[in-house]
Amino acid sequence: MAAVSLQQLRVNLGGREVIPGLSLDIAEGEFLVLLGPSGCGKSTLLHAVAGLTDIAAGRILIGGDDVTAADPATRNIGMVFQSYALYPSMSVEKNLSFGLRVRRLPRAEIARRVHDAAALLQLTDLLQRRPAALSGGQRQRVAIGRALVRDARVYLFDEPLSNLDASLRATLRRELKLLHRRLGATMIYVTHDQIEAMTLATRIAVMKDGVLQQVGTPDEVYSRPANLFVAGFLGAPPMNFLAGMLATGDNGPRFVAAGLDLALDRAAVSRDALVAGRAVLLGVRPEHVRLDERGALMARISLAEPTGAHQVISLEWRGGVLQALDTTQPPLSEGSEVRCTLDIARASLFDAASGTRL
Amino acid sequence: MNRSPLAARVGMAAFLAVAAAFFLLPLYVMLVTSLKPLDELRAGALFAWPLAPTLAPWRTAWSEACTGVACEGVRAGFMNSLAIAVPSTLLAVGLGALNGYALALWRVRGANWLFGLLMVGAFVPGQVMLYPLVRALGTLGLVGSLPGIVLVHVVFSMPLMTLLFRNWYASLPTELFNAARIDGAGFWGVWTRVLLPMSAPMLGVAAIMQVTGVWNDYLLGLVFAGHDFAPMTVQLNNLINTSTGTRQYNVDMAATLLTSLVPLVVYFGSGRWFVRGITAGALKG
Ligand SMILES: Nc1ncnc2c1ncn2[C@@H]1O[C@H](COP(=O)(O)OP(=O)(O)O)[C@@H](O)[C@H]1O
Ligand SMILES: [Mg+2]
Repeated sequence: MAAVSLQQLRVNLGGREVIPGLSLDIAEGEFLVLLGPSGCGKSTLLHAVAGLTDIAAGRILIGGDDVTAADPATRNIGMVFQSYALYPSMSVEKNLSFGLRVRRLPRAEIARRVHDAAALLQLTDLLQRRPAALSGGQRQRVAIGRALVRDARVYLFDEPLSNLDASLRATLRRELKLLHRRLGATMIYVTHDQIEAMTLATRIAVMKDGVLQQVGTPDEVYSRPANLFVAGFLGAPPMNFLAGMLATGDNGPRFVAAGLDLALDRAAVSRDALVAGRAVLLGVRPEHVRLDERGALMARISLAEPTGAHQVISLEWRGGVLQALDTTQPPLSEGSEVRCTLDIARASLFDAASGTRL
Repeated sequence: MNRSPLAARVGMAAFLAVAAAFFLLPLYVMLVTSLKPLDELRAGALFAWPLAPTLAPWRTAWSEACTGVACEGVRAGFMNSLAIAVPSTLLAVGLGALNGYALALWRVRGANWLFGLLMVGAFVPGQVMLYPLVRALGTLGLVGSLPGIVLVHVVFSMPLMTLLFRNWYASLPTELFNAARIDGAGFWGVWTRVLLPMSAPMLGVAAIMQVTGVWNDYLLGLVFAGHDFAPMTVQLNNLINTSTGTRQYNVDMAATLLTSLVPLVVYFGSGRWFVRGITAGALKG
């Protein structure tokens, strides 16, 4: 178990700068989730940490040791791949023990570790099978086991659950979280799935085009997104954005848009940023659009999408369409007229030009 | 437009039958001729089944027929071909697999250049290289020796073998290679412990191609093997061209069939393997 430090990391692939200078510190025992859309360079970053991709500039420290030029074999990491990458010609047992056999550990020690990992991941009955005779979930558990037996300083996961169906994904997600609690190991986990990121991470690093957008706890990243990209990437249904202008009223700053005039005195924004005349976007999460008979905002429900526990409703009003959550029983029906308020205290304000949070 | 599927199927079957007959008829004629005594041959009737089938021509071809001065049949040639084919195949397949592995998966300096050169080599006709090779091997004192002819076969097979294996290894998921490296395996470890065990289909195909290629070779054997290691094809040629009175067509046929026996057995014995190896690239993971 060890801390990982990436310093000014730059990676070029095929003549293209995929990661243009990235710094990130991961504490010992942390579960850091690297979240970003497909093709943003998550795998590339993970491969760089593992030593599978050459880096153009920067340094990588694992447990304080500079491993920038070290071979993957000597970095002492465990890695789980998206495609599982189990050795097809070996049994589950041989797959698990491969890394230990290559490193010539004593036979008894190998047997003990394989036994422990198999027990931990419920693979004991499958030890003699070939990967081809396993289900997707079983294969992924073997892949995780293969990383765990190594007792590595840091574990890397590259979208390990994305090839599994939804229910299995949820199950393995919980197992992974418990596993992390139990082992207290440093883990770096790559995904494009925000649910996985929110549920697993102790910290989330949101990435776009090889650049980190925000690093923080799941709550920080969700509640106080650093910019429009982060705000839009996390949350389903996504955050509502209303374009408008800052203004000064009698009782302080206000947000003004077509058909809307909201006091910002309760907004979680520093007063200095609230300059009258500044073009801004107001970001309100669907759960913060409150149905309220005395609300100022009048709208019609143009679409209702039940999810079982609640329903997602699209509210059509003068200024456009807002998505909201409807938890009332019985649920509201399409076409009905409602009034609502926006919870300003939990809303976000972004500069319209730069997209950064005020 | 309105051809019924049945007509199409009958047409297809007829075409295949004609095609098969085209290739099988000569084989049939060779076989029956090799089983006929000489006087029966003189009667003509090329396609007739032997009236008094005999294995005598086969015995003669194997151990008594004259191949030049010596009259010991093609047996010695068989042994020579075996002695040439086995090391040539093992070395060519092993080196080709190693080359392909290194080129496909490791960032070898100048790998693309090397591969390009090999491909050029694959398309240059072997005859062009014959004279320089003779001179080169002559300086090394290897002309007319077993190591010499094996070396020539291995060298000539390198472009194709490397190409085959490079494409095979490039078709395997790279994550497998990465996983093995993270597990601590190095250049040799990844190859011998992870990749070779899953290369059986490709190894089989490469070995079949090399065995049949080497066995059927005439030119290289004639030039480089010398008298002591002349392969079966060269001896067959000598046997047929050595005239001692009447032409013994039955012996000629038997000797020819004996010479082509190894490739035939390899093909029939490994047909399924062969197909599996060719299609294996499609079955990733
Ligand atoms: N070998 C390569 N050569 C050139 N570009 C590559 C190579 N591998 C990946 N890329 C590019 O780098 C970017 C990041 O890829 P990747 O790290 O795999 O993204 P992610 O894992 O976030 O989906 C992508 O735009 C991809 O096209
Ligand atoms: Mg990826």
